[in-house]
Amino acid sequence: MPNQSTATYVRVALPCPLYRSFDYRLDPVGGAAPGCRVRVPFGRRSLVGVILESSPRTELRADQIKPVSEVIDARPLLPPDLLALLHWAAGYYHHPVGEVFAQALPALLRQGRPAAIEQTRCWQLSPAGRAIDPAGLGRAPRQAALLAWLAGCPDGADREQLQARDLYRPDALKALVAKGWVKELTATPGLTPPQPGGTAPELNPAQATAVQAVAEHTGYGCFLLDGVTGSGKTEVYIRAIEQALAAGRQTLLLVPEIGLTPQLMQRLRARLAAPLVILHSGLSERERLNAWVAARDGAARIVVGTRSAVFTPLPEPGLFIVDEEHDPSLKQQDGFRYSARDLLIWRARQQDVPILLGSATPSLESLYNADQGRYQRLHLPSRAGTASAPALKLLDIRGQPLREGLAEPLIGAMHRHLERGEQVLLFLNRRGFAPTLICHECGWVAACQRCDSHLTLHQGRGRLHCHHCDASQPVPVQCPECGSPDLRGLGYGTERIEQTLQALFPGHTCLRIDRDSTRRKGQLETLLERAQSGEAQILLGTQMLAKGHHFPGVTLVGILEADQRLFSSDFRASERLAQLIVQVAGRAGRAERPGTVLIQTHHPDHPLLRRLVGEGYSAFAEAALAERRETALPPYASLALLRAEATGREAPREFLEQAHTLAQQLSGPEIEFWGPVPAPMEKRAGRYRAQLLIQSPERAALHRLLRHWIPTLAESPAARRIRWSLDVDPVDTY
Amino acid sequence: MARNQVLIEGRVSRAAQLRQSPAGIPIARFVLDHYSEQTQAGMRRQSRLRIAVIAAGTGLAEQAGRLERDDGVRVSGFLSRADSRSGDQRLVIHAEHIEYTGLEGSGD
Repeated sequence: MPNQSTATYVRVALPCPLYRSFDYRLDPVGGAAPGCRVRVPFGRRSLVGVILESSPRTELRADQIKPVSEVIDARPLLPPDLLALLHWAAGYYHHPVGEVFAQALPALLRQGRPAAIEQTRCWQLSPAGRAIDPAGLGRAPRQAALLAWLAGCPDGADREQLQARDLYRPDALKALVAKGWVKELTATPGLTPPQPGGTAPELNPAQATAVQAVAEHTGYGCFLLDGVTGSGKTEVYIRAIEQALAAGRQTLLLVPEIGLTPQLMQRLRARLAAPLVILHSGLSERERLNAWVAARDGAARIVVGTRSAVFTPLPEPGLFIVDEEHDPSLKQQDGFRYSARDLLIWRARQQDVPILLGSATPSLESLYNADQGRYQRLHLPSRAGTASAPALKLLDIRGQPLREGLAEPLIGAMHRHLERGEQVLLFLNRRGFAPTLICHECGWVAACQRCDSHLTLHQGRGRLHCHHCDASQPVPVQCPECGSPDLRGLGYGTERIEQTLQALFPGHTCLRIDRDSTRRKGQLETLLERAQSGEAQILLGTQMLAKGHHFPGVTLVGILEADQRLFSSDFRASERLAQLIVQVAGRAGRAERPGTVLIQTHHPDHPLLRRLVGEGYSAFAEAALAERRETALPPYASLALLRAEATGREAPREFLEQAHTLAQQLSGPEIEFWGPVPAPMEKRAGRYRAQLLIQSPERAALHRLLRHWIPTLAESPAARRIRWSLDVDPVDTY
Repeated sequence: MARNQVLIEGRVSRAAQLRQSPAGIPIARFVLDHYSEQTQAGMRRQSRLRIAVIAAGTGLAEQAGRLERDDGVRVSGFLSRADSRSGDQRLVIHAEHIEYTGLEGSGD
């Protein structure tokens, strides 16, 4: 290590919201390299930080500098390539470096715990325990609760997971073990042995070409795998991963949301005979650390994770993959707002590794980069096997009588498909019974006290919920304005459509899959299994149903409402709508029977819908890109969004006005400002929100401004009166 | 407080629909046809009207829900406008008591 023997001072990234690092003295000299964690005094506290640099010199006076209290890691926790990535990310997103480092580490490492894999005790239902109905344990409610919850954890649960649900009761566990209903084991949470057994399907020519293109490539290269829904992108990933494994290399695969893709995980586990770890927010901290250490030490050969997995160190990287690269959830939406996709591309270049971006509906940014020759486009134009692409049709519902949200032609089509023994999927991106509760007599509407929004009626739970701040209250028995008991739900949510479907199709089982029906662990998997087995014929759901699932029996997809996003103020709304329609439509006809997609709309002549339905996503994307070029929006410009919020209406605006004035002094004509303006939903969770959009055709110019502007803003007195954040390359402009 | 009291007899011209408010309060709505002869300016004249009756609350709503077309009823209650959208012109009776008066011959 350079400097290690002579290092007297270390520069440390500490988890605090300041745009700087901090110097400390090493006593004794040496013994700690960049990437090691140290414990240091900070004010009255003691903090764990990561060494960025060690140096024989410091600019501080000897009496200003404090000594490091403890060097936690004998050898660097983070390798140089990861330090470089985090450094670059802090610079690009203009975020305090200490917070960036903190975000990149599992919580146990942030607390200073050793980077080692540890076994823990865990508890699992025995076959005898599975046969017990917890409801029959009336006099032992804690045991009953444990049994009920463990039933949803086939791999067992450890103390931390039980404590998180207030279920950790040593006596109750002991009693259950004594009865033989629960087994106590030692396990290594986060690491499960590979369970291969799946068979490899034959590749079609397009898949084979894609696999070969990646195989023949050495070093950095970005591939955009543009494959229609059902075209077998996962199979291309698997083959590419197999090649990386054969070459003795590790793979990192990012997915938008792991909880929504149990099928992908099953397939990867079944096909890949190598140690695989998963990193996502649903893990216990011990599971997460074990998986992280296994990846860093090279024991795990495949790492699958959600966006923060982009920060996992890998000693032998050979392949990076981003699945559903268009998905906005790859962008962190609070705190350190980074794009995991964009960071992984940077990392691929830096580590000289090929990266594969997969999607049926690539983002306009990625299509643009492919057009510019920066990415190599790999097409999978047709569906795998004998399946054909579904036929999309617009259903004009202007002036049509709707039966609780369903038009007659849709109901008729449902009857025909169901009678043939096929499945139907209905999509409505609105959970709850009705989005509004209104007084039939005086017109009063139930509004959230803390947000500029209406409360959603959840009939099953008898409550009104705000979907923006999560406030909740019982349904009022009478109108608070006029006293009438005649309150009514206005509009349709999934809960209401479910009732309608049960009335219209009494002979068929309907499954509702949304956030409300899948709150408990294991519920989503159970519902998906019932959908795939054909036990339920009608599937109704929100966008949870749209992502990646494979329902071979579905031949009809109904999109109940496409209009909501046609007239949004967000410039990405049309792109998102098109992606959502194509993804939902992609659930239809994935086996030998062709699929039909009916889209209910009040705007059948809308150019976006017409192009998408008539010519497909590529044609839509081409037109949308042309529009972006004319309006000078991304990818033809770079954006940053400065947001501010406070309990008063004026403070955010004042802060942004000052910020605007300062920025104008620091920038030239190549930077444009829009605002400050109130956010589209100005009041949310009791806070008033405003924003200032900064736009430039030159990315470098925008970043030059941000580099000077943001640290100055952070120091300004106005910044202390409000909450503010900077979002570079925002995916939502509100 | 300003008084608002109605007592009216007639027959059911549209049987009640029974539903529940989101908070679980049963609400029935039926339509009542009224025909009678009254005295005005010392002369006999006809009175004819059709009005909706709302019966809310456990007991009363179920009672209203059992009414069939052509049933004779005596309703007492108060008047209120039907809904804000139709303005102040359309009225309904909110029932406090409903009495079944037997199958009547057609009044007209």
